[in-house]
Amino acid sequence: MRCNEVKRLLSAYFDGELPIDKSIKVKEHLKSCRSCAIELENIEKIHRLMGAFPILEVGPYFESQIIDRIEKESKRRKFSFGLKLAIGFAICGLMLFLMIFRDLPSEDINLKPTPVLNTYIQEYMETYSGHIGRNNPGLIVSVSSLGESSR
Amino acid sequence: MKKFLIPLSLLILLSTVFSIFANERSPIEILSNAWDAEGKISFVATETSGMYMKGRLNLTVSKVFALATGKFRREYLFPSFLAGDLLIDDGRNSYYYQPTKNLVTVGPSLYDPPHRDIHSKLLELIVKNYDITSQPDKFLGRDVTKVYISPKNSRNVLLVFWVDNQTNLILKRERYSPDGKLQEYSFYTDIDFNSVPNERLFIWIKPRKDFRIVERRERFISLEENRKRDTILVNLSPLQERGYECISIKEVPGGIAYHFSDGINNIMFFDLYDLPPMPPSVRKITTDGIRYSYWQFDGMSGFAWTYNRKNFLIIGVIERDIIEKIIKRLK
Amino acid sequence: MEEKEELLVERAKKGDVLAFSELVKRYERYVLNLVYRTLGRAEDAEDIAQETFVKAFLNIKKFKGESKFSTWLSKIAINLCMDKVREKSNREENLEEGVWLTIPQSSYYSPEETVERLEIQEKIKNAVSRLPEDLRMVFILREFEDLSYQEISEMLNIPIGTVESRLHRARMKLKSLLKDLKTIEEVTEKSEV
Repeated sequence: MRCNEVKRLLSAYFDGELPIDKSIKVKEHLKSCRSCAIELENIEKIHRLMGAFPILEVGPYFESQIIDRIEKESKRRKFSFGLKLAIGFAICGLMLFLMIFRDLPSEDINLKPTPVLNTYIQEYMETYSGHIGRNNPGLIVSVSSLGESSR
Repeated sequence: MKKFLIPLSLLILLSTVFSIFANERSPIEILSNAWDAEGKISFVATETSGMYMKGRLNLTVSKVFALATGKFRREYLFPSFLAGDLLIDDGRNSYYYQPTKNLVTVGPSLYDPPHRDIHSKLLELIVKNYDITSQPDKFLGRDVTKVYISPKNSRNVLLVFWVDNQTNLILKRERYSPDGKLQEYSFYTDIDFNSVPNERLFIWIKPRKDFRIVERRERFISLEENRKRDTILVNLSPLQERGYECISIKEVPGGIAYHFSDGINNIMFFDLYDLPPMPPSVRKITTDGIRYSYWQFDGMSGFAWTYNRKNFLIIGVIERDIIEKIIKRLK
Repeated sequence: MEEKEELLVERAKKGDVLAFSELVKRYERYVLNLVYRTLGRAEDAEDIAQETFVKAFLNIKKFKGESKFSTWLSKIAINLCMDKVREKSNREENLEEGVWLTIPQSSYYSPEETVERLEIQEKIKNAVSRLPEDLRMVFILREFEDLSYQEISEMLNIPIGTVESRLHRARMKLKSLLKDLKTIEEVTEKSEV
């Protein structure tokens, strides 16, 4: 097998997706071809690098917002009376459950505060980080998705 | 052999008893000492802080320098849009310099009396409203005491502090939401208690290039001074019933701000000359004949209303029915 | 309280929102990150992840158990991402967004190492985001979801040959995008969390 053909197949070889006969031929070629072996190493290194890909964490209200949206969507759709009742009870039960054990936040709005309002929100934000983000204005700046920070 | 065993077992017994007594500080004492130690220890360290907002983790890494005389310096390293930013607190003023914006924000020091006052009141309120427990632990090879703060009658921990046994410095801290999700954290690594940072580091030096200054002066009103004008706002019973107290009053542009806290949760209550314009997306709700604006955004709620030519704005994590009680109370 | 997934799905089909919320808890991180990587940006990721679950609940009767529940969720998520991508064509890649990271366990790194590690993570994320959508989609499903070429071809409705060639091109592109990250060797050593 020649290099340009092998190079095309290296990706599938790495993923174990080549049929056996081609796989053997590639393996043979790699034994003696330094440049193709390096190409394979690169694919391997990229694979390892993905281990360091950042992982997002879920926000605190993720689940409850989903339940909210489900509730709204459900209301919009047509159900038979019996089904409506069943879902209604389940949601009431859930809301009761959440109200007892946790506050169910009403829908978040997309708040774009006016500048004056924003200064008051900033005042509040400062108290917010009283325990942790003390003396760390940069953290507040980076977190401030509420318009231009004056800090 | 026996001659050897008796004094040895006595020694072991004594040292055990001694160590039990030596560690006999209550969790409250431990937290109190740690709280107190802020600004009283010299050290250099790297601080990593994270805060969750709308599901995003915002992280800063900075080099910090602290002097036992109540001075502080922070050099931001990460992320790139903060790198180069500098904070200096020289005990009287704080200077936050953002070179990319050519901006310096000057404000009061975190170690000045009004702020120390607020800080100690927060601790009092935590002791009053929350359960504090502790257990020994290790962090970065150092002996620490892990202090947990949770609501009474609940095992959901809201705050955790890792307090260094030797210096009382808080080495690591975490804050959790009531439903157990991590919201903020901060910890030191690479800590050096032995080198005392040079005084020069805490002197604000004007940069060579052009820059703007923004002043953040805070004018606090003492509770006595406030008593002459208004006691109703300070003693709002719907808040007091839930353990909140007014811990500071200060002038803000457009009015007066009352800071209520239960030690962990904070509410800002503004008494304003005029209500600021509200964004169109807020909800309008009427209770007991009074119309108020309401929004909720990422856990924070806001309420604004006018009654009898008085304008009020409340911002905090608080339920609507409590606010409605307050609105009715202020009629 | 480790209830079996099949049971939860059965209950959710009957409209049991509580059972469904248990499923949400189990897969929220998974879906969020799938959406994040597929979209190539953090903005909208939570919103679309939520939409995925909402759509899943409303259509759960259509899930007959012929595949894994997570696979079914993935299909919904990817379709929503594709819609979103078509909606916002030619979007300026905002590299100034806040950093998105796992909670660092790094109590033992020097400040230089900490910063370096975080910068590496950011570079990796940016490089993958720079891949054209069609290449990125295939790359994500292979490298992060561990799907076979057959599974990817079914999921995206493209021939296996296309899967293979897109993967190959994705890897070639990434190789050049990540070239300036010192040598890849040093980076992988340092990036091992």
